[in-house]
Amino acid sequence: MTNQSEQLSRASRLTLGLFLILAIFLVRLFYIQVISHEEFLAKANQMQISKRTINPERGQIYTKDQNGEIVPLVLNQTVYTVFADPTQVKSPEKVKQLVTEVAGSQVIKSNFDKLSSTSLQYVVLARQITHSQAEKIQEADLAGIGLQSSSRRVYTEGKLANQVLGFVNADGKGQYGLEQYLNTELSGKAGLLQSVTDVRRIPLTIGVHDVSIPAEDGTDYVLTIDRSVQAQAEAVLQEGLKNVNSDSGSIIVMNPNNGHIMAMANYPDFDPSDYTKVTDATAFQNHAVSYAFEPGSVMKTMTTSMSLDLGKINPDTTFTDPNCVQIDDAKICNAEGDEKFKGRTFTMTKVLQYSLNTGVIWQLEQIGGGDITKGARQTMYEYFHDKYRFGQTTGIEQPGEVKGTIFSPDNVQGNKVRYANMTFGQGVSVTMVQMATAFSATVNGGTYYQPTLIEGTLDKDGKETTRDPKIISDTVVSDGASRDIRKMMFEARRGSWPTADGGYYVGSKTGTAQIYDDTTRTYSKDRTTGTTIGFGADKDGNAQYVIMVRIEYSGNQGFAGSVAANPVFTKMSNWLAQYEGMTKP
Amino acid sequence: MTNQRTQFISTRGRGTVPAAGWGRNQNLTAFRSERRLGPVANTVMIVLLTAFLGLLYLTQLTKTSAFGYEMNAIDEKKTQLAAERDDLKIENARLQSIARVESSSVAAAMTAPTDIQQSE
Repeated sequence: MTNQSEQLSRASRLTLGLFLILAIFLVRLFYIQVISHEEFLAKANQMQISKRTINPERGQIYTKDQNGEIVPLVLNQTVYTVFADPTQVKSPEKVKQLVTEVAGSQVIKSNFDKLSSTSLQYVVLARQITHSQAEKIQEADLAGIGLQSSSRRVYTEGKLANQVLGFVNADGKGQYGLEQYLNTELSGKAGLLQSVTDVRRIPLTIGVHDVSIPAEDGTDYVLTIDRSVQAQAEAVLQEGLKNVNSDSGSIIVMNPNNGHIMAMANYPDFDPSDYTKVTDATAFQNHAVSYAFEPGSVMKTMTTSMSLDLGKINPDTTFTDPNCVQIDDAKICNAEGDEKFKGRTFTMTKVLQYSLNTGVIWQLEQIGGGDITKGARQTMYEYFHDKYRFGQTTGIEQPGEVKGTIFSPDNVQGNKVRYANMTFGQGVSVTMVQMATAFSATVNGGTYYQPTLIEGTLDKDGKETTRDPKIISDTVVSDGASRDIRKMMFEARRGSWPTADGGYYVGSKTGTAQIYDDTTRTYSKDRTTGTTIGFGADKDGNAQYVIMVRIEYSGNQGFAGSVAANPVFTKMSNWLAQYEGMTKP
Repeated sequence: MTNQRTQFISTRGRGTVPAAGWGRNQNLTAFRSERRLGPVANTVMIVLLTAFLGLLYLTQLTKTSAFGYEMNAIDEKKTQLAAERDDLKIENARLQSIARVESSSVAAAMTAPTDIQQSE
């Protein structure tokens, strides 16, 4: 009995012990599964669930050719980085041979030496190889070699419209031009894929918390730029600059009847697919919108349009040229060499042709009843600022657009002398796009269209949705004043260059202004800005295109407007008149 | 473990309207089985059923997981095809670019016209 009791007691103890251990397990399990539930759930999710960002495709940029066909300007390309894990590479020589054969110039030869290293696990062997090259490397199936995909921008027309387009930096962010201005729209929205994955991080469809938010690709844009016009504008600008040994200039071609920019180019320029080689960042800037300058005598067209609209002059109104006028303490004269006109009587059309400063000052005096009164200055300010919109950004789709400077008559600087100077384009600064847009309004019948580079957007099926032109004002000048200024400019141009246009109805005005140096706070003595602005019209005299050219000139063969800018204008206009199929009067 | 007994129960004449219960092909006879499962058989059945359901769940889960791999493979294929499409699009655009056309042999062989006459 005693032995039996002892045995039973031992069995009981064993049972008790087992239950105790079981109880410990249970308590531990309770602790893990109930009390620490959240903590372990989070750990498990962290190990099993992977979150992956789905990158959207960046919107692409298109333009049109002569036939109105949509052609690409900026596309995306999937490219690959070839990397090696030296600890896994079995035959460095084979790897070296394969990568050299396939990747060619994209190989980073200096990294081949690292293939034998045992301490490195990631060595880049080649960058930016194409899909077909990547396939060859994949087919070789060499141990320790991997591929990483990424996307890059491809500028299919090379440097064409480079400053209008801008570029995309290594972080995928748009810089300068449309790439910067439309960065949000072009970028699209990233998607999210959250799911349980296997050990190779392949998403499985078994998780209860799986999330799949598809990426929204960026918007595809169609530009108003005409590919052929842009190419021609760039070519004639560069040729023109070369002819006068200049290193800086711009050109704008626009449709005055809807505000569409057909071409916009500047020099110096850059290659957007090789932007890292640019040493001077000013090459990235679209000076047609970001550089304000004193335009010089091209402004006389705007002053004359104002005077016509106010009914103070007509094309045949005459005035007698005094050559110089005294305004307060300043003596303002015509350009050097125009003394021969002193005392002669000219029509307003001839004032434009001979570019008489005194003639446009006289127009302003007529507005004030014979003097540049505050009322005359206020009226001029209303035209220049409110109607022509100088001193305001135009809203064109480019970053860094500047307003330029115009002083109100209420400002101490808005005195008689300044306003007298403003009539012929000094003492006021404007951008090319401001000037071309305002000029368009004066020659199209009086409608100010917001200048634009965007014609519309493309959907995924390639169908275009066009945007309506945006009218800012349709009362800039009257239809009659518009018709008169076109006629005056046509006659003025024909008077100066009778055979330049091959019989087409073209009107223009040149200008030359000294360049103000912000550093020395003085006007440069040997450097001037030559400008030409004008239009081409059909046989009925309706303006079909507007061209503005600006060239910085250091030569001494004449006025920059006539010597440097006008030849570029003429060449562009003649080409454009034929390209557009214009009819001669 | 089980026992079985068959009991005949006539339902004839149970209708609320006696005449209606005598319709054609309505031989209303039911057999109630007297077989009963014991506790062990019940447990075995439940275990088997649970195992079967578990197996069914696992096969479905595996099948669903396989969809994940299939989807991944299709996604990869789609990405590859998109890359190929982009490459072709770029090649096409480059072949038709202005610079390319200008430097083509056709353009090089062109001569400037000596006289142009326009008709309106």
